[in-house]
Amino acid sequence: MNGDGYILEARGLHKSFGRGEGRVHVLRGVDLAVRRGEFVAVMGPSGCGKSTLLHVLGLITPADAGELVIAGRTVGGDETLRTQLRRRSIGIVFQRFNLLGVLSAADNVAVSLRVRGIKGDGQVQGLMERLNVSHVARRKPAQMSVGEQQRLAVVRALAHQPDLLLADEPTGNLDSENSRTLLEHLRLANRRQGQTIILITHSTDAAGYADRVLNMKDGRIVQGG
Amino acid sequence: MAYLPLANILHYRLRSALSALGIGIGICMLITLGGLARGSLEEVADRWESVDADLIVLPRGWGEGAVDKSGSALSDKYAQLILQRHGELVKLATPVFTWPIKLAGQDQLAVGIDPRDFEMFSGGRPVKGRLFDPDGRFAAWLEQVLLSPADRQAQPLDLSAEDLARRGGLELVIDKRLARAGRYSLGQRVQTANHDWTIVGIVPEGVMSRVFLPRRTAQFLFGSGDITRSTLLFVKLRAGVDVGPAARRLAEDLKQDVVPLTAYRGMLHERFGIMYLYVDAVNLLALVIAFLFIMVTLYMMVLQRTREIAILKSSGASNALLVRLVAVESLLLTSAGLAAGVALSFVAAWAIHAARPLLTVRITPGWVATAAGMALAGSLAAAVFPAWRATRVDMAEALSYE
Repeated sequence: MNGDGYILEARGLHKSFGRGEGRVHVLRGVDLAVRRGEFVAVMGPSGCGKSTLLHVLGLITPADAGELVIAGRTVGGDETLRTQLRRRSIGIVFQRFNLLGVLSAADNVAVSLRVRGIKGDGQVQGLMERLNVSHVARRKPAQMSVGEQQRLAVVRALAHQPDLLLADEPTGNLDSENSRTLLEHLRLANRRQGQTIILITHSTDAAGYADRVLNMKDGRIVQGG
Repeated sequence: MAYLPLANILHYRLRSALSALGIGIGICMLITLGGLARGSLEEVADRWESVDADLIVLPRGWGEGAVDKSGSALSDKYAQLILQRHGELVKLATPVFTWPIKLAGQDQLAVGIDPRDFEMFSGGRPVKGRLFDPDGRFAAWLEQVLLSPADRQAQPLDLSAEDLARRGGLELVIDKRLARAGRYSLGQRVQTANHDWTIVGIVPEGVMSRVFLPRRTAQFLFGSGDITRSTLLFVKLRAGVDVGPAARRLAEDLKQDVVPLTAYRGMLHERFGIMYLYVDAVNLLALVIAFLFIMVTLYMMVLQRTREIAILKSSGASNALLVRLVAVESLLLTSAGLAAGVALSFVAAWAIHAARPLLTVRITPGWVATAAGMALAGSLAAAVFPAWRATRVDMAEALSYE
């Protein structure tokens, strides 16, 4: 589990929810390794555990069992390390954007950077221009189109130049045109900046942008892991 | 990062405004009630300290109780005795008779003095109109009737109110504030203490009492006809004489209490300190309620914004940062409430003064600073539980509701 060039390595990840008879075993031993600069898509039917896997990999929720190494650091229950990795190494694009409604587009990105202790925003301006959201910088999310919100969510997730970008069905709420634009931006970030991306999707079109496609079924990666 | 709490406050304007108003009312109560309780006492103390005297001679044992005692208590002979025995220390010894009377709908401590001593009490303030018994004829007449050996058989009850009024005994000098409160004017006749009095003079406010009357009248009417005793004595020392040693020497000789005039403020505080306790308790309760209100508001905010908190946590926000954000929001709301509360206090002070001109509300920078300190400390205390709750937000759960 310490192979060179891997940004993420997971072995035997398990995750359950609930207790007793109501307990649902969502991840049943996920093994996964992703190299730096890889663009990986994770596909599978609804309920197979894709989003739970993203939450575990994004350190939003801990695994019940298994081993997880991110950016060369073994991640356990140490909340300080988990917070540190979330801050420095991980960026997440949520399906429904999860922008802060009370802030403008620019402030949404700025807050994300400030939380991470980053003050400069020179990089952000260019990123916003590349993702075509600089014209809505002063608008609040409610005043933006769905496509603009999703692109802004990508800007926010990339602004601190994370080692690993996790995207959970980022095109799930977009029309085909907006989906294509967003995926092309992700592929550009991967090609030009060598950004490592794990894309959770149920769309074969979206998965087509990735270097490698993993299939999940019943809480396990059954193909491509 | 202050702009996130600020943005939240501005986004939820009505809730924020109500929260700030809740705090503002608490602050206003704190400042206004505190200012009223302390202001009224301090104003009385200031007025007493305006007397051009150094010592007060009181009947032995009165102590701090002296501040609300009145009537016949001390023989006037002490004034002569002091001058005879301690002339090298004492320049002037003036007997004063105090008695509560009702004017402008409120009890006033009327002070009976001899007109020749008025300078000691007025501090040189000009009298609009004139002083009562300006030539001393009334005092001389009453002394002759009641004190001269030839008239020993005369009974005080034989003297009618008309006699007193005709000879200028039922005259009052009031201060400007009382005149304004009671809408009294020069020459006006007022009924109080079962007699009809004429207002002959009005002095600027700041003098020892709001009501002055001839000492002989006060002694006769309120001292059961005994015009040989007063309530206390004011003593003016000669220049350069130390107050403390002089007070001790007089007390030893007279076997009465002799206190520096400056001790009167402390006596007032001793006597009415319990009032501060009640007022402060009410104020504290008001503040606690205001901050419970803030706590509930912040707690509701945390519950409503679990997704926002989860987003921040997913970005790597530490617990310390979340606590800071909640605390900053609490401080911002409190600061707005503080500003509103201070402004409301001035409005309340103005309204109280307009409704009851004789009440004094003193809003001092020190008291405002105390209120601000308590408010800011309270706001941080109120933020503790909501902040703790914010750190406990389950990211996965909160983000699953997307």
